[in-house]
Amino acid sequence: MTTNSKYNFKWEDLGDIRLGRPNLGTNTHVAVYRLMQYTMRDVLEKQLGPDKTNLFFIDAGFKAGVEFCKNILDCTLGFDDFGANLADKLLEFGIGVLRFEKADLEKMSFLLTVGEDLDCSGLPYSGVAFCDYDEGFIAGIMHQYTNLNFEVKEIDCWGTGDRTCRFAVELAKS
Amino acid sequence: MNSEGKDTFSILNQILTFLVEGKINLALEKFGKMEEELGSQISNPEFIANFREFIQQYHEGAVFLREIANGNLDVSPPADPKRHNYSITQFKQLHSNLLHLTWQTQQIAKGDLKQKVSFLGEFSIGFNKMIESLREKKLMEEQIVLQLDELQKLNAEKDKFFSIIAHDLRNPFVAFLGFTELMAENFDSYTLTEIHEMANDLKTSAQNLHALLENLLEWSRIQRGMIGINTESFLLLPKITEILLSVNESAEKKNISVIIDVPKDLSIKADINMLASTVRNLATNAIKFTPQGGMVTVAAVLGENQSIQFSVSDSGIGMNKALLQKLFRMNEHTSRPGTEGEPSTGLGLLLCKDFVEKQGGRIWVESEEGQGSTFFFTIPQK
Ligand SMILES: [Zn+2]
Repeated sequence: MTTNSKYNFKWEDLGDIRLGRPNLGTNTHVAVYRLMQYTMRDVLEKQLGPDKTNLFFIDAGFKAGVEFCKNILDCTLGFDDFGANLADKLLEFGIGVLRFEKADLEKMSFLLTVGEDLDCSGLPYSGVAFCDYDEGFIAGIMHQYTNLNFEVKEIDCWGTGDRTCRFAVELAKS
Repeated sequence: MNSEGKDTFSILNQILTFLVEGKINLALEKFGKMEEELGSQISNPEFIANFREFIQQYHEGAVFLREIANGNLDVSPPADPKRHNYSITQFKQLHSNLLHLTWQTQQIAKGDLKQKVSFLGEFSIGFNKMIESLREKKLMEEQIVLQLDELQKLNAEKDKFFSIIAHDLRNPFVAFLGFTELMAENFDSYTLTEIHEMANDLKTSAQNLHALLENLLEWSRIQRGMIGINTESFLLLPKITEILLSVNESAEKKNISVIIDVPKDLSIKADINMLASTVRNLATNAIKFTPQGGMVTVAAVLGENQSIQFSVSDSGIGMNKALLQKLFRMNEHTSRPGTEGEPSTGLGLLLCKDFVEKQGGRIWVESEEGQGSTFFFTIPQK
């Protein structure tokens, strides 16, 4: 992550949205979110190339995951309740529908799907998984909760012709 | 139609026939051969490519279904590169649903009864009902454990009750029997003064017995749930004065002054009988454990949150830490005789605790060995 930047994100930087938008409220159109993410990707790819851009999104997602976990989730819960808490909050914030397919707590290895994903659901086939940001987001949440490092790989995505995003979550090897 | 077309057509027809007959391997084999034999002669490569993809998906779908039908979830659904082919993506959906369902059953097995299944209408209704009944069963089990606990506690209290009867009724009775025996056998050899003394001792013994019996009776009525709360409003000072009349005699015997420190205009909402029993018991104890010439103070003030706080303090022998921790507990033996051998059972304090808590209040004690004791209790007025 950046070391010479003066800015360091804090949850408070999101501001008091209710106060600021008494009429429009806390929600916005998903298209606006995607517009921002994909135009940013466009510019970054042109300046940094695709690989660095992917890393950029993973890192940003990680930071977001850590902060989301700190401020929204209840880290004092046991794993099962934490999973339920996470699913509830992802639904509440309109991020997606989380389901576990496999969970091996001994190996800390998980297979989970995110239906109606905020980033990619409904996107046409492109041959690549789009959800780098989500990979980082999940890794950040898991890191904040367990204090361990995780590798998260999106193995299915709307971008690869699937109808739900599927993530393999494993302990980082190093 | 040229000859290539005819050949291709008849080969494709054979392949389709194999597929219809379920002979997928033969169809695949035939298709491979066809590509090999006709090779560059094929005039519509896109048609052939689509046909190949169709057979491939059909094959993978069939393998997938065979494995799923045999209960093996460790299998890949057919690939659907690029097309979002609805009928193919449904294989993946089925696979995902089955994996998630498996995970849910594992969670339920671990005791997570909050899971809700939403897959296969009738199945999920039945499944969710099953979880619901498991949840009810678990709740019932928890209740049974609680009730069992309660029963064991009650049983322990019953045991204590009997041991109190056995132990504490015995001593006054022994004295009683002794005096009456002496009087019956040697009545003529005693002077009138001696007989008078004995009669006085008998009276004290009978009073102690009576007080103990009263407490036992009240306690057993609480245990059987026969005592309900009956609150009314009244001025406190006259009531306290009246209650303390019953301890005057024992206080006078030990030359102990009983001081009442209650504001004149302070009124209270409480159960008169419960309050009387509590104050009487605490005052009796205070006198018991205070030596000749001491002082006992009964006070009441309007405390925090509109509750009335009582205190009964004495200049007596106090209590050590070990004894303090055992007070108010049925299963601990706390009785010790008073400073002049007055009998004491510890039952009075249990009664006080029951009565105070029944009225929503709290009872506690502050004491140091040799420094006297102060018992506090509150009666909320909300
Ligand atoms: Zn995706």
